[in-house]
Parts: sequence; C-alpha cells; structure tokens
Amino acid sequence: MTSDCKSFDEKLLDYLYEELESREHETLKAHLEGCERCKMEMESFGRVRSAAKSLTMAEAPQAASAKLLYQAAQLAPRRGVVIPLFKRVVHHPAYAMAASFVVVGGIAGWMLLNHKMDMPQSPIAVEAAQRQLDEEAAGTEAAKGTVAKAGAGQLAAAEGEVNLPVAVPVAAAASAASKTTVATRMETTLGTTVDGKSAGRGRMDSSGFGGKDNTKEDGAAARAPREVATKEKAASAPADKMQWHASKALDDAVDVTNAGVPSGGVPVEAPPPVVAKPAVMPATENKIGDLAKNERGVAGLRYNDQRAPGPSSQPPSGPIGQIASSGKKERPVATPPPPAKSDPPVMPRALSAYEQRELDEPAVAEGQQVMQRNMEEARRRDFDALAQQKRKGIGSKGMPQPAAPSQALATNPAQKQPARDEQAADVEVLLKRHGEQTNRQDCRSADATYRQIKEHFPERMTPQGRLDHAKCQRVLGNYSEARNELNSLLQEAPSLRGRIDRETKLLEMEEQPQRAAEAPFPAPPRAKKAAAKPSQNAKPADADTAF
Amino acid sequence: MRDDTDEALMLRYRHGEVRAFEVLLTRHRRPIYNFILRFVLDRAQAEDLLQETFLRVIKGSESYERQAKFTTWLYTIARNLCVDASRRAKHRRADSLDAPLDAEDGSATLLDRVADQKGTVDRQVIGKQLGERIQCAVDKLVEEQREVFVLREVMDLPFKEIAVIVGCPENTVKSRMRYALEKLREALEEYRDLAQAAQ
Repeated sequence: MTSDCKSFDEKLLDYLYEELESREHETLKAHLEGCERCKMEMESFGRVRSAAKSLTMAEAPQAASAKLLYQAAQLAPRRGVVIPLFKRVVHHPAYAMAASFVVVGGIAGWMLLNHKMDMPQSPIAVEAAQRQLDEEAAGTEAAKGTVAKAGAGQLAAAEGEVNLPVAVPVAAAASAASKTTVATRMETTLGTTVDGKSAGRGRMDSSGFGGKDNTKEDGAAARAPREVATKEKAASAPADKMQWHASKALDDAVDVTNAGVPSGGVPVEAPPPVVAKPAVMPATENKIGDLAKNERGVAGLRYNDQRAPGPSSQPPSGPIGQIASSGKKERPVATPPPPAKSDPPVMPRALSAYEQRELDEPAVAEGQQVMQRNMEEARRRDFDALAQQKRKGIGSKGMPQPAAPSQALATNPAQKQPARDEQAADVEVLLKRHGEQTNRQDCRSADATYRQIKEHFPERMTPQGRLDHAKCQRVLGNYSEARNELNSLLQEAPSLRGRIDRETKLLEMEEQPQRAAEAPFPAPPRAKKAAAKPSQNAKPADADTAF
Repeated sequence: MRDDTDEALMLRYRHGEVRAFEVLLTRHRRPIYNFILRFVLDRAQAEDLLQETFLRVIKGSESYERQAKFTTWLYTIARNLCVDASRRAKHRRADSLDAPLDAEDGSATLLDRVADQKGTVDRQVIGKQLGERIQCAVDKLVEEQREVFVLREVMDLPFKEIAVIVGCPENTVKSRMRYALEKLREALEEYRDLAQAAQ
C-alpha cells in the first residue's frame, strides 16, 4: 500500500460520488488504472451503489398533501403594507415600548384637549377653599350683626321708614374690596342713606337686580348713587362675594348674580355695566314695606299691585309695559313714590320721565337685555319664597298682598307664553353662559342661570350641565342639594358615573370638615338656618326684630 | 412558478402566495416522505411526520430568510422530527408493524412499495431479491450511518449539505458513509453475481 493508495482512500468517496475537481479526478483515475487493490475497492463500492439503486422511492400519500395545502391556505401570511411596516416595532421590545408611550400619550393629550378628562381637584386646594369660605362666613356673621344693629338704630331714628337702604349696602359691600370692612362700609352707607333723604331714595342696586329699579327716585337726584354703585361693582369684582354674604345678612332681600368671583379668589372680568330700568321687585318691596312703619315722609317703595290702576296709571312701553298691561291685577308694577306730603297710601303711578326714557332707550345692548331679563327671572323666583312667607305677616298688618310674579305667570298662560317665546330664542345663550360661568367657577351666577334653564327649558338640561350645577352647589355650600342632584344624576346618566363618584367624594370631603367644625362649636340658630338653606334665601326668623 | 427555485417559492409563499407552497410540496413531498420512511421504517408514522414537517415549514415561513438552502432547512426539520420519533419509539420499545421483523423471514413490506416494474421477469426476480436484501441491510445500519446513506444515495444530496443537515463535520459524514458502504458490501457479498447481473 503506497502513499498514493492512502491518498486515494481519503478521497475514495469523493471520487465515487464525483465530487472531486476535474484535475484531482483525473489523478485518481490514473492511480486506479495502475493499482489493483484500489481498483477492487472501488468496484465493490460500485456494486453496493448499483444495488442501492433498487431502493426506489415510494409515493407520498395524497391525503397528507391535501391536508397540508389546506393548512397552508389557512396559515398563510396575509399580504399588506401595515404588517411589514410595523413588524420591526412588534418584534423589538424597545420599539414596542416607545410605540406604546406614543399611543398612550397621544390619547391622553387628545382627551385633555377635548376636555374629556377632568383632573381631580387637589385636596389642598379644596381645603384652602374651605378655609377661605369659613373665613368669609365669619366675616359675614360680623357684618350681619353690625348691619342689624345699625339698621335697627337708624330705623328707630327714622321711625322705621327704611326701605331702600337695604339695597345700598349691597353696593357698599361691593366696594368692600377696597380694603374696607363690610360692617363699617355698611354702617356708613346705611347711615348716609337714611340721613340724607334727598339722595337716599330707596333704590335697588342695578348689580343685584339686573338693572331694574323700582324706586321712586326722580331723575338726577338718584342717578348719582346708582352710577357710583355701578362703578364700584365693575371695579371690584372680588367684592361681590362679600356682597353676597352681605345680602344674606340682610335677610336675603337682595342677591348678587352678575358678579364673577371664582372660588379660588382669581379675579375675573366684571360684567358690563347694566343699564337700570324700572322693574318689578315685589318681594323686595314686600319686605321693605314690612319694615316700614310709617309711609309719610319716607322715600320708599309702594305697592300698587293689588289695587286697581287709577286713571292716571299708564302702562309703560316695552316688555314690562306689555306684561303690566296684560295682567295688571296679577303682575305688580313698581311705581316711583309720590311726593311725600301728598302721598296717598297706595296709588298706581305713571312712569317717571327718567324711567320712560330708559325704557325707550334703543341704545341698550341686546346682550344686556337678555342678561337682565334672565336675572330678573331668577331673582323673581327667589323672591317668591319671601313673598309667600311675608304674606301672612303683612296681611295681619293690613298691608296689601301682592301676587307672586311666578304665580301670576303660572296662572296666565297667555302672559307666560310670550316670555317663554322670548327666552326660547335665548336658551342657547343661557346654556353657553351657564357653561362659561361654570368654567370660571362663578357658581352663584351659574346657579341662577341653571335655575332659569331648569324652569323654562328643563328638556335642554344635559347631564353635564346638571353635574356642573352639583359642583356649583357644593362650592356654594348647598351640600344637600348637591347630593340630591348627584344621586338623581347617578341613576339617569350612568355614563358619567366616574365623574359623579369623583364629585361625590369631593362633596364628602367638604362635608366632613364642616360637620367636625359644627359639632364642638355649634353655630347660633340664625347662622345655622342660613347655612342649612342658603339657596332658598330663607329669611331668618329674627330678621324683623333685627330691623 | 414551477421553474422558480425553492428559495424563491418560499419567499413567495411568505408573501401570501399559497400556490408557491403547493409547488414546493409537490416538488419535495416524495423525497421527504421516503427519507422519513427509511428513517422510521413505519408508513403511518412517516405520513404523520411528513405532515408535521411541512406544517413546520408553513409556520416558520414568516421567519424564513434566504440564508440557507431550502432543502437543507427542510431535511433538517424532517431529520429532527425523525430523531425525536426514534427516541420516543425506543422508550416505548414498539416495533413497526410494516417493517420486516427479521431479515430472513422473507417479508417484503417496503420492497412491495419500491418494486421495480421494469425489466424482464428474471431481472425483476433478481432485482426483487437484491432489493429485499439491500433493504434489510440498510435497515440494519446504525441510525447515523443509515441517514447519511439515505441522504446521499437515495436523496442524492452532497456531503457538504448532509453535514449541515445532520449537524456534524463533513469528514464525519464521509466516515459514516464509508462504514455504511462497507456493511452493505458485506451484506450483499452473496448477491455479488446478482448485483453484477443487475448492472
């Protein structure tokens, strides 16, 4: 066995199966011709290969092929552009995580931009707001006491002929934001009004009553204080909150609605100055009339609602005139007070030149008119409760009983319908305004707007609006009403369950500190009652005695 | 499509063309089935393993990349399945019903399927006897040598590709092949003349 044979053995299989290059193949072939041993080896393996050729291949079963084709059709990768595009993202964890961040961030941003996700209020902010409300409530209590004392003193000096100053302190409270305490300001304004009768004609503040004036003031003598009050209101929006408490201190005779005071103390844009108009304020007049002991020599308000209009009575032009002319017996019409000396007890009067001019003033902006009308309706409903409460007491004193405006409207559909039609055009404005007021947390104004919408257009109230109303009630401290609203809303609008639950939690958070504060230090009965039903503007039991 | 390479057809199927897979199946089902059949020596099991082999090809089509030869990938799958099946069979100690129990019992189960239908009657008889003999000899080969012999002799795969399929060096494959040839040569020694006649 030579070295060539060893080399042949190493490459025997390659030669047998013809996997050698042509040059090596020729070299080995030449070796085979000269080497008998290698030649025999090669022939023996050739015979085995020849025998192996008899190992023919079997046919594969067709059933297996059919099943495989079916499986291939079912599991075949789908054609498309999206899957290859995101294949890298899907298969790589880092890409997948980055993509998930992008998706989640995008959804959250979209929800925030579309106001679909309300951020929960911070407990610290809630606590701060509660603290601020408590402080203001304490200041209100002081103001109540001071005003009551001052009112009683001045009334005693003027033989109880204090009608109009009730409203003046409201304007004074509005200016309390200029670093003046409410009590001091009230005392000052009240005293000035009572003492100076020439300028102290009873006049309702335009900010509190939507520009409606039901006093007897005649011309320029009373115009100056009104302008002053309007300027004060416009200049000091935050003071309206104090104004609100001041009005509550004065037995809720007046209310403030057009002020924007966010709960967080952020000053908001003051509403535009409202042009005063003669208006119907029966509840206020009723209250003031109750306070009055002697009408002679007092520039007060008079009721002429339950008296037949005299020959000199001329209905005013404009919407009020229409209402007055269509239902004079049901609808009280405010008239300026007659001259003090020849003043009959109660007589209808014609509109003054000033009132007539203002009624016919075409320059009043349309928006202001709508706002005034809506505010008047809200105030009127608030005063209905007072009017009903006072009716018995006044009746016992022989005073005329005015019919409640809302009752008059309710009993006269023909009269109510025009007003409804008018507001039907403004319902969109009301809804928009309610949303804006809620957004800037002007809860009192939002509450008034909500009540208007609820009374005249209950079908237009949305669950969202009701939820906002519940929020406002919570901020205003009307926890029971807020809870009732949330409970009813929870049944009627289950889709808002998350937000309702969140609001309910906030409500409970705010209620708990109040309960804890009330338990060890119970408030006096008057404050308790005022706190229990602040939304109804209920008059405290000792209000009469205070004045 | 029928002229396309295996790799091109596989890529087509990867993009959703079921027809490409059908071509691949038609092209490779018979060699694969025979490879499996001669590995496991059981027809039913070979049929199951054939389905499983192509099913894995279907499922793995999305991750298939044109890096290796398709046949190498396909035979690797089939061989792995056969190895697993063979291991399970050893644990069960189950014998194939179709495979001949003994080389001398004259049963020609596999030979019946692979009988050559050509040639004269004498050649058919000789071929049948030779086929039975070599079939029995092949079945008696060690598993490692048998798979190499089948892949090289029956499937006509080069040693380089066989080395990739079985996962060992090429020289090892050649060594196994040589041992297989020597054993078969010894088994066919008495049929030397018949084999020469068959040539």
